[in-house]
Amino acid sequence: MTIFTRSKRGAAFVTGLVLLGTTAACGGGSGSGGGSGPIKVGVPLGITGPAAGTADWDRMGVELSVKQINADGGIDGRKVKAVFVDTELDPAKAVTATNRLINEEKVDLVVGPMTSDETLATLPALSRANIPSINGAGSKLDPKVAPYSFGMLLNAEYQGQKMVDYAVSEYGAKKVAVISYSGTQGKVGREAIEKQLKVKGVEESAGQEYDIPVTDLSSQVLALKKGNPDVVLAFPQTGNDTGLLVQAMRDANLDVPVVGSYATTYAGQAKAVAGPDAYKNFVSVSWPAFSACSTSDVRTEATDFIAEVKKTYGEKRTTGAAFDNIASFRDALWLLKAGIEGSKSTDAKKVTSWLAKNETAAAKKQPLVHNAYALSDDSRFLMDPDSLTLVNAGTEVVPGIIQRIDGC
Amino acid sequence: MSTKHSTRPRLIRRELRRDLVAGTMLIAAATLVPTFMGNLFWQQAMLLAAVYVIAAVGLDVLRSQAEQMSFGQGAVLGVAAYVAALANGVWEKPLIVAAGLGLAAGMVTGMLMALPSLRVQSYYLGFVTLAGALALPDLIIKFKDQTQALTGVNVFLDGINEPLVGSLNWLTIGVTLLAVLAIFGGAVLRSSGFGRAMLLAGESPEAAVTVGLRPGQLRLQAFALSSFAASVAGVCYVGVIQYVGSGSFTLALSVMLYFVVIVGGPGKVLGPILGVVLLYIVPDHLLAGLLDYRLLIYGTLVLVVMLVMPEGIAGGLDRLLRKLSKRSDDRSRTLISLAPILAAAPRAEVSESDEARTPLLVVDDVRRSFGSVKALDGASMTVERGTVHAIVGPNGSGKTTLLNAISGLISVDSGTVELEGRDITSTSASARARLGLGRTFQQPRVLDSLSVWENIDCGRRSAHQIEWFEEAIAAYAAEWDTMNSGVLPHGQRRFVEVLRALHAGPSLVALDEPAAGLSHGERLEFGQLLRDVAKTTTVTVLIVEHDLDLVWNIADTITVVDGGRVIASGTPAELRNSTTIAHLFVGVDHVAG
Amino acid sequence: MNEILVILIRGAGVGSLYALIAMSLNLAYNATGVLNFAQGHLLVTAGVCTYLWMPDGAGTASPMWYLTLVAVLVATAVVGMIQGLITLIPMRRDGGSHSWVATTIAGSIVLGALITLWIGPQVVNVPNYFGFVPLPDGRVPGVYPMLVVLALVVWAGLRWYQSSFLSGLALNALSQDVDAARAAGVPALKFQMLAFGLAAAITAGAGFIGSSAIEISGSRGTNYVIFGFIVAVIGGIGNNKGALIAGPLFGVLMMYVSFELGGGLQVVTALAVIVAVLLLRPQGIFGRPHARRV
Repeated sequence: MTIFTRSKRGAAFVTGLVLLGTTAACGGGSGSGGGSGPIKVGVPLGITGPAAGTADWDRMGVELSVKQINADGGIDGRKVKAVFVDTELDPAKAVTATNRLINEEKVDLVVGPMTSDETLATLPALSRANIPSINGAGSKLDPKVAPYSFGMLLNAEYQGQKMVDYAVSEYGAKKVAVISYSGTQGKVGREAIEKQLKVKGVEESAGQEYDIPVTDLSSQVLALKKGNPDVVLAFPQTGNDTGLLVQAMRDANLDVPVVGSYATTYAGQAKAVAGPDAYKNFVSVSWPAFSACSTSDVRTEATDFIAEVKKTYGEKRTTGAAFDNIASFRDALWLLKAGIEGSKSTDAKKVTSWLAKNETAAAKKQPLVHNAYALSDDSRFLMDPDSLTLVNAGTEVVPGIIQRIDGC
Repeated sequence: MSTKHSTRPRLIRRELRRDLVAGTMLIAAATLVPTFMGNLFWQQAMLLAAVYVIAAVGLDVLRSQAEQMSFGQGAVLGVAAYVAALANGVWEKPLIVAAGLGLAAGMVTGMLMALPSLRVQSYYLGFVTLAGALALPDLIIKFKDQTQALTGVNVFLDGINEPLVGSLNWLTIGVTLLAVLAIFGGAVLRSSGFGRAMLLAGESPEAAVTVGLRPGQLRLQAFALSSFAASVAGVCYVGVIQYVGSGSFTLALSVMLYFVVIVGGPGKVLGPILGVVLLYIVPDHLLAGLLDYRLLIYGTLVLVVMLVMPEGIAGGLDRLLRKLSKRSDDRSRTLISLAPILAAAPRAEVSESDEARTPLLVVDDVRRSFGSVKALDGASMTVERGTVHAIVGPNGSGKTTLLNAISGLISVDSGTVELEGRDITSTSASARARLGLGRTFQQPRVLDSLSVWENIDCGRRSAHQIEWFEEAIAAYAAEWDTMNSGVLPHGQRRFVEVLRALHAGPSLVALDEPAAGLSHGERLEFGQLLRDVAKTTTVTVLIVEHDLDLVWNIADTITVVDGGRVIASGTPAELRNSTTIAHLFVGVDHVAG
Repeated sequence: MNEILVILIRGAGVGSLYALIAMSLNLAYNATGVLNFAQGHLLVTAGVCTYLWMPDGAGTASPMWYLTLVAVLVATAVVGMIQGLITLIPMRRDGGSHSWVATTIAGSIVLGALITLWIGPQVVNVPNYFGFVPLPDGRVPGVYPMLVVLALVVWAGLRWYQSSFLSGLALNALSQDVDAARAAGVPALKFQMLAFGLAAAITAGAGFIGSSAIEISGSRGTNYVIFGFIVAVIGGIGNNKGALIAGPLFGVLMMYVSFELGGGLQVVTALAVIVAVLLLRPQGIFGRPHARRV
């Protein structure tokens, strides 16, 4: 310390710095510790940046579940408090944001982040901190990388398989063209599609990719058209690029059926781009919960949920929203609640192993919106792969519930 | 040599020391206080901030020291980080090897981006580097099998994260030290002749070549330093974040780093640190709770800061501190006086050796056209050693073009230029300068950001320096080193440039209209200096000048140029009565005899 | 054949959008020496205004369409002038000559944040007002040829303005020597703000006409300014004719690359081609070599 205290000014300076550092270090949350006070849920989402739109849905889902759970008496009698942080969809920022949630906010649970990249970047820290989480990754999760975390979304690989199976069984496709966005989900989905095509002995007549953001898919569609496909398989990022695909196919006179991944069910977005008839000759993979064969098998859990979201957030903010996506983020917290109450602990190991064993049963007891939860020992995805269904996203049976076309 | 007594180069200039101490304390406090308080979050956040500081210091070398525009710093950091992560996490190399591979990959990337700087400059270079940063994420995804882009790469570095005392670990020690080293490195570079050469080459490549510097090489060296810093930052990044993915290193990172340099205060020791505080710590951590209004507040904050401190935070704080301490802000009107230097000139003339009698410079039938304009149309002249040789002629007659052809700033279409009997027609300007051809410009190339002495002492120096001159200016070095060249009046800036040219130890110094803008007294002084230089050394002075009074008084030989040709040449006495040139100088018949 | 036509028309259209942004960048650059990083956000601003103000179902036949156009132009120009003023003030102070890099980036962040607060985080869409150009096999939305026409009109208009009016001439040369202009009694700041306003209006025209071909969202502005910058660089910074030619060439190149080689490497390949060309022609493909410096 001698060099620091050589002069009065120097000493004052150092004192100032230490004070500054102390304030910084002590600023923020006091932490809930274990057992008392509210249960804190950290929610890292890409609130600004390229996926701001989807993040807004996810945010509504978590906010809603916090409200409901607190109205229901909280988790194990403790109130729930959500702490949102912005990751800007950047893995590095997701890491520091998660670190903030763990060490600064001292959260007990995490719901998020939204993408595989961010999830894989943050999992080691979450595991080390012994925090159970449910994330938005749609690919590349297994118990090894994610000992205490589950993916809530549809697994991209299962989607890809399902898409190929349907193209073959329904359309008898001999040649298919594949188009996907160049992010992780798109790549994984595409790999699964190509693998399944080989299994089924179907030729991939053309494959195309595009970077996000994109405003025009016509050159990609022209390239697809060259191969004269029977069916187009699409793995887009959101409804926006789904709409662009439809537009481009229309403009290029490429009039073949499209089988799309889950993102193609974002009908509000796709119709805003390509018009009300965007889903002519278009089938998508989706959750079972928000689809129905006819008005008679519409699930009231889903319609009630839609009504509640609309009531809470207003027409403007929910226009074009994918309610099933909101519902997954909403259900995530309810599932964690079940895990904590079931295992009587917030310890990650106990919560996850309880959930892995009892999820299906728990799902029945909790007021969940989705209905196809099923975990197996070797999977880290909450959704039952066999529950994937095919829908016509353009047609609504009742508002927010889309037309199912298989298993009817 | 005995001339160095008061110009002993200092490793770090005095005015940088206060900032270095402050910077070191800031960095150390930022990383160590949370560490000792056991706050893991702030520890990691500050380490990442330190990583950005390292990269920004490197970028500032490029931006402020070498005047190169790069939007690719984030890509260099990214490649180094990605390769280091792959090497450790996937290829399972030991930490040290992984770090080495990361550094190497970053350097290769940096140099690939630097090569275009030999061809393209300013925004065009900005574009080329931006293209690299834009392409990196796509390339990582394209080669997904090699880069594991689908999952990204997790790295588990338990060794360096093992706590030693409290939560202090090797990573914290290493990153903190490297960040401190980075700001010291920046200060050492700024204080060095190498740094000044870089600056001159960046701001005025044409002036740099006339003092024997190679701007292209200096640019590459600047890129190398900058890429090294970015690569070190990249390797540290892996240690701090322990994950790399295709989305980790987008253009946004490169833009953020550039933004840090500008907002923090380009060319200032504290600039990168303060920039990182405002552009990383504030929006990502201090405002993190705000969500919806975060970006609006952050953007507005930066706008307000720039309105208050347009020169960047570090520069603005400097100004503020000066105001507070009521110190005169360096704008002292001390002038450079040539008189004492002249007084030091030995009165005795040097004896002429045999060598001295051969012509120093021979220009033979030199031609050069710009489009359809024949700027030089067969000009020939001979310059004798140890003389003052003036080139005169009307505006647009080709005087400056002739000078440029001699110093190699333009190439000639035909004809030859010989220096000391050696054909230098195809020799580069920089090499000509190293052979002893000095040069000044109509618009003095004086760098405002350097002191007067730093401006004089920023080129390569040849072996044969003018000894009495070196001794004379050495006595002033310390005083001039405290003078701010930004506030020098025009005439004084010329002096600085002439002193710089003489300091390089030339055998011939070519001056382009050196007397323009000088006061009458300054002209007299200046003429005397040129005569003394020529008479007491073997240095030859070649001067293009409008002021015929001056020319007639000091020149041994006068060459008259018109229409790109030499139309007369001789001593002032010979020319005074020549009728062929009389019409060119109507109105100057008062020329003294 | 059909494919080539689509690539040419669409590529030229998208490229013309970039060319219009490049011309706006050039206009402000020639008058102030500033490359406005917020130009892309001004494009999105115009798109947002169009989305919000255009009455439902109004087409090019309706007077409301033209009224909206004027409103969008004026509003964006005002935003551009305010943003310009904020950029110019610090530059006029000691040591502030490089502050524009920071102030324009900060300006773009503020604009992006305001847009998101205004319309929310979702992307909004505007219909194509210009019908379709029929092709032998398929069609192309009319917005693409319209963008080409707009780029030509703007280029010709600027040329006429800058050669026939003193103020136009002043705009074009002001950055060469602001001090001299000020000394000569030219109200430099007013002219420079005019340049920012005019640049914003041109971008607004592109944003209005091209509203169905752009992605309107607060987070997308940066992409547009980057591509505008790329086109400005290829054309030679400050050179509108260069931008006019470079834009469509760049657009067609991008389309062609993604058609032949796939969209994943579209940007990388296009950039590589341009970097290669730039190394052969260091002042931009259509730029003139530097004036003699000594």
